[in-house]
Amino acid sequence: MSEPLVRTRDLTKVFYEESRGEVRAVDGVDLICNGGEILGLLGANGAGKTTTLRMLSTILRPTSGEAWIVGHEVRNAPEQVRENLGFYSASTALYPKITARETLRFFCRVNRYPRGKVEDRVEELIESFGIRDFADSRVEKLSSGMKQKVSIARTVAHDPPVLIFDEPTVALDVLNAIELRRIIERLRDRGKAILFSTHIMSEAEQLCDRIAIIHHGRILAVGTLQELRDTTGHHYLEEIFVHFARTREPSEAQGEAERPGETGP
Amino acid sequence: MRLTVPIRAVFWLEIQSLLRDPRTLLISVVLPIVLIPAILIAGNWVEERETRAAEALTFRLAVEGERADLARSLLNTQAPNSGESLDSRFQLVSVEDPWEALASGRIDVILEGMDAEGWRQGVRDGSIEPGATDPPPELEGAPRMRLHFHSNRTASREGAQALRTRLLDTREARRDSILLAAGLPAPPENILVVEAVNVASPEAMEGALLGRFLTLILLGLMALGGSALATDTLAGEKERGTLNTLLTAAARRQEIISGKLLAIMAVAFGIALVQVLNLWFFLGLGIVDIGGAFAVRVPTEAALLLLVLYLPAVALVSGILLLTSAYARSYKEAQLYLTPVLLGLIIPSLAPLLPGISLQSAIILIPIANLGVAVRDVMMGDVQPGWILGAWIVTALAAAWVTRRSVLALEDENLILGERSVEEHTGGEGLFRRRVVVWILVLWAVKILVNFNLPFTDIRLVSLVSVGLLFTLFPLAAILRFRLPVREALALRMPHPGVWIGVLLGVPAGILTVLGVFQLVDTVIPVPTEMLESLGQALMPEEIPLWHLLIVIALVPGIAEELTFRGVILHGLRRRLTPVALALVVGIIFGMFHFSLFRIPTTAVLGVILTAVTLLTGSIFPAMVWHVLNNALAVLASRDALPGVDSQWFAEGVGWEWSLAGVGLLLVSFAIIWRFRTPYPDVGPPGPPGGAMSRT
Amino acid sequence: MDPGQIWTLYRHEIRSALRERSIVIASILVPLIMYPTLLWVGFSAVSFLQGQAEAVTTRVGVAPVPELHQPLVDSLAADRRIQVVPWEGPDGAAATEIARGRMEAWMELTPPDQAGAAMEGNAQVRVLFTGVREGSRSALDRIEALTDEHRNRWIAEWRSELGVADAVWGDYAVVMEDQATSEDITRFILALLVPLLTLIMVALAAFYPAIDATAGERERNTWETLMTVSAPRSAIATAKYLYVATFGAVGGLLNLAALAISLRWILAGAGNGMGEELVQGGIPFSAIPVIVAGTALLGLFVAAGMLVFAVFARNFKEGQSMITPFYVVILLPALFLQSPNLEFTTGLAAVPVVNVALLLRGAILGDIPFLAGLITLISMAVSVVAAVALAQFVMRREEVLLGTGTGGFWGFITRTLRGRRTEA
Repeated sequence: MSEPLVRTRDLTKVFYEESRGEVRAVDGVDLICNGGEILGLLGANGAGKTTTLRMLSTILRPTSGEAWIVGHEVRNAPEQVRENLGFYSASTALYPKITARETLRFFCRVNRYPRGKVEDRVEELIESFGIRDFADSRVEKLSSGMKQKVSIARTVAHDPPVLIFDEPTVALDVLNAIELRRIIERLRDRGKAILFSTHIMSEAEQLCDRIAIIHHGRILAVGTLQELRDTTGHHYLEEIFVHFARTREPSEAQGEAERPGETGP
Repeated sequence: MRLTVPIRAVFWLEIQSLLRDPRTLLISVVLPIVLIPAILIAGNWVEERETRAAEALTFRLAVEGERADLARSLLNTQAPNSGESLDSRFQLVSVEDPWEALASGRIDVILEGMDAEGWRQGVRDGSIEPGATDPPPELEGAPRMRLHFHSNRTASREGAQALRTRLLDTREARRDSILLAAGLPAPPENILVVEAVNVASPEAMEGALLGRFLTLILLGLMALGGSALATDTLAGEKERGTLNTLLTAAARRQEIISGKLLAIMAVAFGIALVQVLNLWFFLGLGIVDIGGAFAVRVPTEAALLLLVLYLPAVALVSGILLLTSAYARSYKEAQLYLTPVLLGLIIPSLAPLLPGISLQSAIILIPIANLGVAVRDVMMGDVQPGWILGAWIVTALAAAWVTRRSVLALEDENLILGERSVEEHTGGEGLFRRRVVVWILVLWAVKILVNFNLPFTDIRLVSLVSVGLLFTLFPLAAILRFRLPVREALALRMPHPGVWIGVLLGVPAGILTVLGVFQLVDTVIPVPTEMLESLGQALMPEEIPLWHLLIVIALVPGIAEELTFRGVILHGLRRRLTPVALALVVGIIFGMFHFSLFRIPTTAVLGVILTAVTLLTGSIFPAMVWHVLNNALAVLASRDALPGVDSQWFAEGVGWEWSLAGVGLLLVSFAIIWRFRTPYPDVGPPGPPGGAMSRT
Repeated sequence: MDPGQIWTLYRHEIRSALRERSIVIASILVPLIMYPTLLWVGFSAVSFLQGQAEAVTTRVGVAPVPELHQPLVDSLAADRRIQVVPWEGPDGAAATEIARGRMEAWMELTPPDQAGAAMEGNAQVRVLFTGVREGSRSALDRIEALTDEHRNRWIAEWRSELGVADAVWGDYAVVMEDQATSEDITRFILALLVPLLTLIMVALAAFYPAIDATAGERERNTWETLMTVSAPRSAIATAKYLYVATFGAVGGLLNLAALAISLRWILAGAGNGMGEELVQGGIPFSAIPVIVAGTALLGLFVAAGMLVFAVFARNFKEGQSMITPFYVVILLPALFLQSPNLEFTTGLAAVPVVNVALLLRGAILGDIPFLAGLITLISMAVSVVAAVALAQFVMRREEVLLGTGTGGFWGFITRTLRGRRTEA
């Protein structure tokens, strides 16, 4: 098999806080995600999901370790990385004063989509995401469902091979969430590599081809749902998650206790 | 720089968003368009009203005194110029008690005629206070015309002035006729007439006038216009969450900043243009009249030159606005920083208004101010290409640097995420490190206020309060407020004994070095001798005993200033900068606390030396001893109490060879201190560079 | 309304404001640091210029003069800032030298006019200078002054030759006797400055709190929390209003005090002789209660006005653009207050804001007409009550409570007038 579209090796992010000292938000994460695959990042709030995805999208710089998107390393070639990547999260808002069409055009251009093809691409997006009816209304006047469609359309505007969805359903109602999941599946079927983070078990169960359980900045387990069931002997993802979180808890505590010793001998 | 597609996309996005925001447009474009002419019209109206009121003013005048006869006859003689008898504006009134009437404002001026004898009598019995108004010696025996008035009342002040002019003109005419009658061959007004010929063309004159204000007007308008977009662009995007979206797009940070910068420049430029046209319109209609300044016709080449000249200034102003926005976490914060920032931008553009300022001075090093002066020169037809180019380059470099900072701000994770730290809630040392800059600023402001409000009569009082008290209270307050560990905060550790040799050697070397720096500075920023003399006199007055001076100038500052600067300030800043930067910055801060432009560089050098010593020894004591000895030597030298040292050195400087020797000796001293170094712990920024810093 | 409840709400507002970084910066830190900084910049500029001026010597070209007038040239050369250079040449060349800045002025003696020709040795002093440079203009001034002295000496010689006695020629002396004390003058200046500054400072200090109390609450999502507590809306509105008014008045006074401390030094004429007397006295103690009361009145009025506009804002930015026009209108009277001759008439006493400014001026000068003062109080009380009533009315409306209305204050007015269709 060829090089995976997304690969990280020992990816680590350390924040420095004046009172607590170093905080390892992400600690030695190794991940792989291939085209046509949805990799779910499952973890509680503050587990390091967002930090990991922000490093992949070059908003944050890794403290150590490496990550490649379509063969480009995030620290050495951030522009190429972003050219090959669409990032969607609850915190990526749209510009209120421009219309949906202008939004798509803007993101095509700012992502260096081939110049002559921008208009065709915008039409294509408007068509396939069902934006036609409100394509020329200003974003500030749209309902949240419409905004969501425009937002996803702008994420894939430049047709990147890798897509990152950081807790995308967190602020959505049930119908919109279902709609979003359908779109994501469609994108997977077109061969995109998709990283999807969530803290909702059922969502991960339904949507993800493989699931990575992340806790306290570390990946505890990766595999298909079936593989995870087999290793743990539990059926429900919730139980599986608790299983891993519990079993790692004592060793976590031990690791903390050992840390001063690390600098010793 | 190439205008790439992303740059243009960001540019148009900004412009489009602004054009579709009617409320912002209303505030930043329509309001000023209405307001500026309104202010001018109102100002004109007030001024006209004042002038009319002044013209319509009548002065109620009473004539008094033993020579009231002479006074009345002088009032009745025909005015030498106009040929009129007493000005119709003067109204002679007779009142019961003129002095009471003058005090209560019922009359405006009393003209009191008095003989010289009466005058002398008055001076003797104290009813007349001799002062600056005494007549010149040749008029010793002449009668006096005394004008009594109240300068805080308009009618009284104006009336007295008009009457004075009138009386002097009359006297001039009477003198001339006396001389002519006695046989002077020509009338005095025809003797040695000065004929002044202005070689400057009327255009140059008008240009010089407009050139003074042009930078202020244009940059002021541009800063105001640009700020409308700037505050909204980065800070507003952080608030609305669109910055995250933009940062995950493939555009380079440099491209995003360039696009935004160009947009701000365009808006600033556009709004300034609209306002200038607006002004032109109102001036053209004659609705507003502010003199001929705006009637200047600027030739095309000069206009192009001006445009090129202003380019880096506009870029710098826009860049600073953008940077402010980049550092703010929300629109509101950006708005808060704006007032001081705008003020800071306006101040340098006041430079061309300063009388006698020349581009060939230190002013060329101050961005914006230098271009302001250059523009004024160009406008009055004085083009010095080399100097103008120099000014242009300085401002352009500043603009480039500011733009670079904005790009870096987009890479600064704390600024992007806009997350608040835990210290805000927990307090303690971490919070002090965060707040130390604000504390320094406040201390600086308080020190200025204390210095300028203390009666500068006795150096002992001034030094004890503004140095001794202030610089002891500051560390005390910081330690109490943030619960700082005293020993660490003040670096109360014992250095290696070998260090003291270096200190003893370093003190005289430091003085020689600083004297050299002083000479160097004097060539760039000449010190007014008057100020130097008064400073010397104020710092080390003759009448104070030597041991008093040694206490208030050497001992007290040496201890108190070290507690503040090499104590808590160094402690608070230590994690922010690398050791070298730390020595420089703490040194410069120390210099800034000496306020006077001529003392800042020299004291800053001393500050750098003292900080370096503290950083190398990890202890405040060597710096204290050094500081005390340094000041003591200066005091002793100024009293000529040191054998072989001339107090004149401090006014005139020593020769270059001495200063160089001083620098050499200083290096030796530092080599010794380096040899016995026990470095200040925990210095330098914690890094992303691999967490390499020591956490011992 | 329960005063205890208002007091609780009011304390809550004040406490949160004092813990709000931006408000502390805007109303305390900025004035504390800004004025001294401005002071320092001014001080540095002055000393810089002084040094510059000393370092530069003015070159003045002088064409050869006859022996009789040599003293004029000598006195010019005696000035240590002037360097006299012998320069003979055609006009044009001299003009070029001056235009290029190589010389500041050029002086030559030319034959006198007809009336002056009767006097032997008389001449005209012709000076070439350029009006665009200060250096050149001051060189001209210097030459004119020295020529005056030289002429007077010459005429004095003639006078003694002609036998005109000093006493006859001297005639009389004119002496100015200013009865105003330095305290009077200080008050005169303060009476112009203080009302103007008070007005600006109060408006400035109320600006952020007004937005914070309304749009700020919406941004922080605490608006609805507050609206669902059991206190009546009017109590909440009153507490918010009093909070903004307090900040306006207290912030204004603090600013004024900070500025006054900095200004003292400037009024002292930067430490040179004449200024020493200027700072004697200051604001009379009797005026201080009036200033405090006037500031409070202004605070109450400005706060009500700003709240009426700010209450429609959904975020800080909107709040700012909504208040700005009101802010500008409030500051407009400042233009007219520069005139020292504006009298505190009964007519002006009816105009809100302007009347308070004039009241402050009167207080400092120690002269308040009784009727005008009374009308001021009534006029301000009426306008404050009206503004508060309007603010209360506006805040009770549903669209304002929910922040669903569009178009700000004016949109609200038109909608209300059109038939109260305000259901959300």
